[in-house]
Amino acid sequence: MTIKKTFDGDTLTVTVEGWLDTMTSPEFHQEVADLEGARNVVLDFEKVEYISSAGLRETVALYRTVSANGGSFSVRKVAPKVMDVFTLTGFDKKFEIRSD
Amino acid sequence: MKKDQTSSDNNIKEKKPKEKKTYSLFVRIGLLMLLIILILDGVVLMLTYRISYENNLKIFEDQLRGAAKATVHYCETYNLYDDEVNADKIDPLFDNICELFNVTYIYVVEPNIETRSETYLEIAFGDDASEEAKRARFRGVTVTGKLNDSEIEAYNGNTEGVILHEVTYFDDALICYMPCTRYFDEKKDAYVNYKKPLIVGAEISVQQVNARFEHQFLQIVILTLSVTLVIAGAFALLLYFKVSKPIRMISNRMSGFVTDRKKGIQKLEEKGSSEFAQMSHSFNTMTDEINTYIDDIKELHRVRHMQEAELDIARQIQKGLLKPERSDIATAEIRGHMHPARNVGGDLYDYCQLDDGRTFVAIADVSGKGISASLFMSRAITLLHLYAQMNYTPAKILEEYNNTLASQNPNGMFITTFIAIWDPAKGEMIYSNAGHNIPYVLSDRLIPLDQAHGVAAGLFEGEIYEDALITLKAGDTLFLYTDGVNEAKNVEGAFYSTERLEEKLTDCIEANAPDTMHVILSDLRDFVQEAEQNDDITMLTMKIKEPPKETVLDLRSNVEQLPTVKQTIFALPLGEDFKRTIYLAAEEIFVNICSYAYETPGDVTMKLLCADNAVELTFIDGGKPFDPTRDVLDIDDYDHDNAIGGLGRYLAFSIADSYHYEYTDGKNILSLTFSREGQDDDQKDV
Repeated sequence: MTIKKTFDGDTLTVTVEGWLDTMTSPEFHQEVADLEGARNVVLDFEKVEYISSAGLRETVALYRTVSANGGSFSVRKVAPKVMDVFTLTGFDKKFEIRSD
Repeated sequence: MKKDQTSSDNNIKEKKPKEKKTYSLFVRIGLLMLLIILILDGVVLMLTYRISYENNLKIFEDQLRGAAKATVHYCETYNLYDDEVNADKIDPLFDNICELFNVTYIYVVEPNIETRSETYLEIAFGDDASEEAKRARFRGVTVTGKLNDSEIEAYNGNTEGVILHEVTYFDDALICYMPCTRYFDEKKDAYVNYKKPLIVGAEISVQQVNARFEHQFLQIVILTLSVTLVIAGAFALLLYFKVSKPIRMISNRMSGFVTDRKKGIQKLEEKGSSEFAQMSHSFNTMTDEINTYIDDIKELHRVRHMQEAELDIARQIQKGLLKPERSDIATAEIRGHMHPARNVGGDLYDYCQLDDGRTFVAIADVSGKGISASLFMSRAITLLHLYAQMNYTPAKILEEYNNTLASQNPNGMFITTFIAIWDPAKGEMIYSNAGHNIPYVLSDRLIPLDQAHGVAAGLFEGEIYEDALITLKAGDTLFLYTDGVNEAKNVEGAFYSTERLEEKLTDCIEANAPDTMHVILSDLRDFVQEAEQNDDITMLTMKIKEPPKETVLDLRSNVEQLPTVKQTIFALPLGEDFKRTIYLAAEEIFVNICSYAYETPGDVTMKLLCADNAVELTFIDGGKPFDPTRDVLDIDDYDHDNAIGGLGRYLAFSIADSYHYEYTDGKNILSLTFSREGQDDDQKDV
C-alpha cells in the first residue's frame, strides 16, 4: 500500500493505492493521524483494490475526526468491489462516497 | 306450451342458422296427390266425354230414324206431291216431327241420279237450324252435285235408313236418309199406283247439339273438380292435423330434447290407437329412458371427475414421495425420472446423501400398476427412506425391507428393487439386487451390474441378499431403469428392447454425453411415437463427479500469518474477484480468531474445499468455545458513529452464501460456503 497526501488550501487529499486491510491499516492510521491543519479531507480510492473491516475502521475514524473539527469528508473514485463493502456495512449513508 | 314451442324453435334457429332448407314431406305428398287426382279426373272426364259423345250419336241416330220414318209415313199417307191439298197439312206435321224427335232439319228431296242433283220438295227446320241453312234450303230449290252415296243407297231402297255422319270444318252433322214412295197421279183423274222414290232426310247438327252438351259437360267438369278438390283439401287437412303436425311436434320435441331438458320435458299425448299414439308412447318411453340415462351419465361423470381429482391428488402425493428430478451434490450429479402409465404408478426411484458423505440410490418396480401398485410403492419408498439411514449395506437393507414388506402383504404383491451405496472416499459402490433389471455402469465400456441378484422383495420372509462391489471413477455413470423402458412398445407392437438400450448407452459413452437420461428419454420418445404407454417408465442416473480439491493450511493465531492465508487463497484456480471475496471473509474470521480465541497464540487450521459448484472455507481452532454466527450485528441498528466491534464478522457472513458453526471435540469449526455460480474462473479472468 502506498499513500500520497496533497494539500490544497485547507483540503487534504489522501491518495491510497493497493490493499487496505488488517496488515496495512496501521500504516494508513499513522499517515492520517496528523492532518497538519487541514479542515477538509478527500480520500482518493481510485487505486484501492481491496478493503476489509480494518480499513473501514480507519476510514470511519478519520471521518469522525474531520467532522468533529467541522470539516467535510468524502471518499472518491471508489471501485465497485470496494464500494460493495461500504454499501454492505451501511457507511455509504454516513458520508459521501462516490465512484467518480 | 305454445310459448315453449316457439322458444324451442328459436333455439334451433339460433343454433343452426345455416340449416339446409327442408321441403315438408307433407307438402310434397300433397302436391303429388293433387297432381294424380287431377290427372285421374282428366282421364275420367275425357272417357266420360268420349262415351257420352258416342252415346249421343246413337241416340241421335235413333231420333233421326224415328223422324225419318215418321216423315216417310206422313209423306206416303198424305201424298206430298199433291201440294195443293197437302202443303198446309204437311208443314205443321214436319214441324211437329222436328220438335218431337228433336232434329234440326227434315226434308224431302227428289233426286236426279244422272245429274247428282236434288230438288227440295219439302223442308222443315228445328230450333237448332242456322239462318244460313234456312236461306240456302227451301222448297223448290235444286242443288246440283250434292247427291251423295248415302242418298243414292237410300234411293235404291234401304228402308231402314242410311246414316251419314258428315264432319266438315264447318259442320258436324248426322243425317238419316230414307226412301219414300210418292203416289203419282199424272192425269189427276185416275189413281195410278206409280212408284217413284223420293228421299227423306232427317238431319241433326251435332255441333249445335254438342255445344249444348259441352256446356252441360263443362258444368259437370267444374262440379267434379270442385268436389274432388274439396275432398282432397279435406283429406289434406286431415293428413296435416293427424299426421304432419304430430310428426312435426314429435320432431320438435326430439330436436330440443337435450337443450330443453332443463325446462322440463313435456310428454306427448297418447290418445287413440293410431300409429301416432304408439309413436308418442314410444317417444315418452324413450324420454324416460334417456332422462334416466342422462342422469346416470351425469352421475357417472361427476363420480369420475371426483375420482380423477382424487387420483390427481394421489399423483401429486406420489410425486411428492419422490426426490426432485435433478440433484447436484458434491460427489455426484443425480437425475431421476418417473412417468406412470396411469395417473399413479408402481415404480419408484430414490436417492439420498448419507451423513458420512456416501450416496444411497435405489430403483424399484411393483408388480402391476395403478392404485394398488402405487399404495405398495408408497410403503416401499417409506421403508427405503428409513433403512437408508440405518448404516446398513444394500443387502442388509434389502433383507429388512423384504421382511417388512412380506410380513404384511395379503395380496402377494412383490417389488423388484435395486439398491446401491456410493462411497466417494473409497471410490467404491456396493450394490444388491432384489429381482430387478440389471443396471449398467457407463465407464470406459458398458458394464452390466449382474452380480448379487436375488429374489424380488415382498413375497418370502427371511430371504438373504448378497452385496457386490464395483469401483467407480469420476465421469462414470450409473444407469438404473425399470422394465417400462426396455419393454416400451411402439405402434407396431415392437419392444424398445434391452439391445437398443445397451446400444444407446454405449453411444453415450463414446459421445461422452453430459446427460445420459436425456439421451435415453429422447430416443425412447422417438421409438414409441404416438403409441400408448403401457407401463410406468422410471430411470435414475448418477454421474460421479471429480472429488473436490481440499487445501489444508496449518496456522498460528497471529495476524502476521495473514499473508500466508492470502497466498493460499490466491493460489486457487478461481476468478480474481471471487478470490478477493473469499479472502475478505478469511481475513475477517482469522483476525477474529487471532483477537479472541486464545490467551496466548494457538493452532488454527484453514481448509479450502473447491467443488464444482462452491468453495467451502473452514476455520478450526482449539480456543475457547465461541459461536461467531450468534449475535451478528444488525446493520440497520448499528451505530456507525460510535460502535466499531462485530463489523468484520458481519461482513464475512454477509458475503458468504451460507455458514455453519459447530463445536466438536474441543474445537470451534466454522465453515463458510461461497457459490461459484456466476463467478468467473481463473482462465477467463486473466
